[in-house]
Amino acid sequence: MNAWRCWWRRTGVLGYLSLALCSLAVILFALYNPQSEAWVAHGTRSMGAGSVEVHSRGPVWPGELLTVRINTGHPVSGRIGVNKLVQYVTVRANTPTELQLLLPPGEPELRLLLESEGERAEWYLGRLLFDGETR
Amino acid sequence: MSTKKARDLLWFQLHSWIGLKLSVLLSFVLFTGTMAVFSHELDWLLNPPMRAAEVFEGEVAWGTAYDELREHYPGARLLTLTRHEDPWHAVQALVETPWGQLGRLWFDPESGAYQGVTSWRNVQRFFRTTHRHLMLPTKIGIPIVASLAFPLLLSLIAGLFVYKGFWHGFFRWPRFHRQTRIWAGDLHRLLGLWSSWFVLLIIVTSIWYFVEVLGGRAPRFPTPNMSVSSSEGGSVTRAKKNAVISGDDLDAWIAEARAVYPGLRVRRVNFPTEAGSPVTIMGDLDAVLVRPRANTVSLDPATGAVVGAYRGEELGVHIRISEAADPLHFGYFGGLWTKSLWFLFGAAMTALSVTGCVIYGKRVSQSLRRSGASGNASASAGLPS
Repeated sequence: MNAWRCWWRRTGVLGYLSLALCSLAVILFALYNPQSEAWVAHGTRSMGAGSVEVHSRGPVWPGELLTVRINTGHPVSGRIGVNKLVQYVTVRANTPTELQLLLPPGEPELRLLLESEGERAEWYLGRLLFDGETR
Repeated sequence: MSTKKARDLLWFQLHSWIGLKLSVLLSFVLFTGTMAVFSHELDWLLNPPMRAAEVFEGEVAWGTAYDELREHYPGARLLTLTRHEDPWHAVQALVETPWGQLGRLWFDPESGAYQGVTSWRNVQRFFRTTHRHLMLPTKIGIPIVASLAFPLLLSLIAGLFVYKGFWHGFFRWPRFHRQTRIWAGDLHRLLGLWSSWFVLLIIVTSIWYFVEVLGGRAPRFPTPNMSVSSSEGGSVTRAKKNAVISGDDLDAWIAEARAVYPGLRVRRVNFPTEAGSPVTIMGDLDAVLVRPRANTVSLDPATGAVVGAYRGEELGVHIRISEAADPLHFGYFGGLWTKSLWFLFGAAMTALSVTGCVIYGKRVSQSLRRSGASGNASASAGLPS
């Protein structure tokens, strides 16, 4: 029999219990104190011939500004925003343009929206795991 | 079988049994503890806002940092301002948002400039909470983890009995060219010998944590003579108190604390937790093996008057033992050098647990193979199961 299997089998109940405890610790950490967790995943979202880079990272506090940079191969004239807080934007082709978007308070999920000339793109940004309005 | 042989077999069985049955939990606790030694440094590497613009040993621009904080996050409730022991770390402000979210704001120690925000949860929290109490409620988790010190102590003693003439083994290099069971055994013995002092230190401090959580906690630090001026009214909330404090106030308080204890290297400022509670300024002074909280000056935030002070040397034996446990267990008392040493020996302890499993598994599988070949089912006699 394989040495690791021999060892594992003979750890017995204490071995299984230990494994359960250690796994539980890791799982509990992921679930622990959800109020403290509100992350925006930074990175680049592709869009046709261009991209939207999300610069802000880490904990997001409602009411804060999210920094994004738009860079496209063709001019964009449309709306950009997080959830329903959109603003009009005009970006020239191949001219990286930085924008600051207000993060709406009290909304559990944040989605970045870009509409331009009938095209619409939406990206998942992050999730707020606390209730910003009632706390 | 002679009495001596029977005794030796008993030590061996005890050592093997403890190592086998607790191997999973022990390996996990030892690994997370080892990683926890450098968890602050891992966070520092992962989060640019945590890095000071330059290595800075001088006095932190506390007041400017405070004013910057108020400017960037006027609604946040400030809980503590902390300077890390290493001069390349930014100053941390632990804050709570109006909706109850904890966050860490970072400031350059020299200029006080705001550098960014990171989540309350970080690498350090992960390793600390999993190592310390397996993320369970501390009343349950700490006794489970700390009680591992007792079987570890038995295993250490048994190991020294099992290893005949261990004092000759300090420079016996493992035979890596031989089969796994042989070199793993050599390595296990060598690591065990060199790390035995460290194992003992971890056992002793863990037993202390066990005693602490079961009621043997050291008495509280001397409380300040707090009839803190209620000039702002007893119902003044902490948030309001925070809002009326300025960076100049904070600098004045720190100057006041230094007047009480010249040479105090301020490491932490705790802001009032409720109406009528003091501002406490903590830091490093002369006493060894104590945390910053052992040197504390408390002030009335409304008047700036000193309402209490104590230093490490004045504390009782019980408190000093309690204070020494963390620096000794974590290994941060000598900076990066002792941390590196603690990390290496922590890794050695983890390796002891893993090599123990390898030796056991190999030995059992070999004996099973042999017994299978010879049809002798009793070949594994003498091995603990």
